[in-house]
Order: sequence, then C-alpha cells, then structure tokens
Amino acid sequence: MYTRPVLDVTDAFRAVDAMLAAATGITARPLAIAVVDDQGDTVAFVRMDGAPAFNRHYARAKAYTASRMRQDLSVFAAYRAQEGRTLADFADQGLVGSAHGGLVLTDPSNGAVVGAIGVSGATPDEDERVAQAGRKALGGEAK
Amino acid sequence: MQQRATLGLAEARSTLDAMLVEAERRGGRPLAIAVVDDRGELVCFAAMAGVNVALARQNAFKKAYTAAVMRADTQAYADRLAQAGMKVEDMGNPHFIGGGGGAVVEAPDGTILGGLGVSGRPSEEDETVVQVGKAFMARLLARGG
Repeated sequence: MYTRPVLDVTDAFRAVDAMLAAATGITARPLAIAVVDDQGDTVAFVRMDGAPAFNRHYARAKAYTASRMRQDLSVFAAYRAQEGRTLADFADQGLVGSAHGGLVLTDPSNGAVVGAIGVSGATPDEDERVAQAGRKALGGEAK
Repeated sequence: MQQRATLGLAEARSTLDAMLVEAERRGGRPLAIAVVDDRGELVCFAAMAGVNVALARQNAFKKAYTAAVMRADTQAYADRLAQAGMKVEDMGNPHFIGGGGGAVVEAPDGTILGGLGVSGRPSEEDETVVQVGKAFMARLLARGG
C-alpha cells in the first residue's frame, strides 16, 4: 500500500479564484478555466460570461494533456519538436498540441504530480500568464 | 435582435459554493456538482476529492443538462414520462437522466436560465443538496443577481 496526494476541491478553487483575479489585469476576453486531478479528471471548472463553448473543451483538454503527460504544455511541445514526434505517437486521443495555457501542478513538498491547470479564451501568451497565476496560488513552482 | 437573459458565472459560482457547504454540513460520500446554462452548456463544476469517477462526474452534468433543456427537475421529468408510459431512455438522448439530483433554474419572470446537477450520494441525498442550491439561486436572482 502507498499514499498519493489528492487535489482537493478547495485547493482547486483557490487556484481558480487566483486566475479569475489575475485575468482582469491580463485580458478583457472571457476565459474558460479547468483544474484537473492527476488522472486528468475535472476537479474545478469555470466559464466566464460570454466565453464560447469551444473554450470549455479546449481548457479541459489543455489541463488533461498537462496532467497526463506530467509536464507543462510548453515543455511537451518543445519535446515533440526536438524529437520529431507528433501527438499521435502518444496513443491518447484526448491530447492537444497547444504550447500555452496548460501547466502541471505538483505537491510542493515532494514534487508529486497532483493535477494540472488549463486556460483558454485569450492569446496563447495571456492564457499562459493566467495559468501561472493559478499555479502560484497553490505554491507550485515552474517545472 | 432579441436579447436573452443568460446565467452568469457570478450567480452560478455562489450557488455552487452554497451546495458544497451544504454537502459538507450534511456529510456523506463526495459529490460532483454541475451548473449549466439554458443551452445545457457547463458554467461551473466541482468534484470533491474521492468522488466516483465513472458515475458522479458524468451524472452531475447529465442531471443539470436534463433539467436545463427539458425545463424541469429531473425527478419531476421522470415522473411525467412514467405517467405517459415512457422512460427517459426512450427519448434517445444519451445525456438525459431521470431521478433525484437535477433542478431547473428559472429567473423570477419564468425565463429558463439553466440547471443544477448533484451526484455521488443516494438519490434522495443528491436531491436535498440540489434543492438547497435551487432555493439559494432563486433568492439570489430575486435580489437581482
């Protein structure tokens, strides 16, 4: 038997609230924000007023990808480019190729992956900055 | 052009939080809770740690979706179909679900704004939590959002 850290709904919404607060200073566009657990299942989700349905799927897919691959989307994209791999090589149809707005979450005490954040709705750079605000709220460092 | 009143994140989130508080207060198995708009599109969602992956996550959404698009609480919807000798499955929509835990959200003027869905505990416990959410939302909307 062993234990694994589990992302609590309270923690997930602490990250969501930090991202909603940060978003007002970063973009005027409505965002969709998802926080998923270490399996890529949604723990917390919000869609700001007027955000299209597309962004819901995309935010969750970004978070899912970062969680399943256990790395930020920027790192995963760089790895694929470097190794000449495509998404199809990873045998998971839920993965998306975006390089921004998807960040892995780790337990600060031991580095274990506990989940991921996905942000969609603004420019790639803005999505990334909003997601960083979420990870910072949980005390996670860049990985 | 028509303008349609639409459920916003502010009231959806307050209601979600009220249901989470009620769920904690009552105690029991972890819940998934979904709030959708009048199109059945997700506005916000919460899954408590340890929630059943296969059932609760899907069913919270299905209950909220069914209540929103069929414009009725899911128990009332299933009862109405039963009176006509039908089942929810007969409707041919794989996202439809009947039973307790789904509630429709209406504006004070009767406009359908969306649905709430709660899943993870016995049906009557899901129903209690979702009705707390429905009443909370009604008070919020009566005050003007």
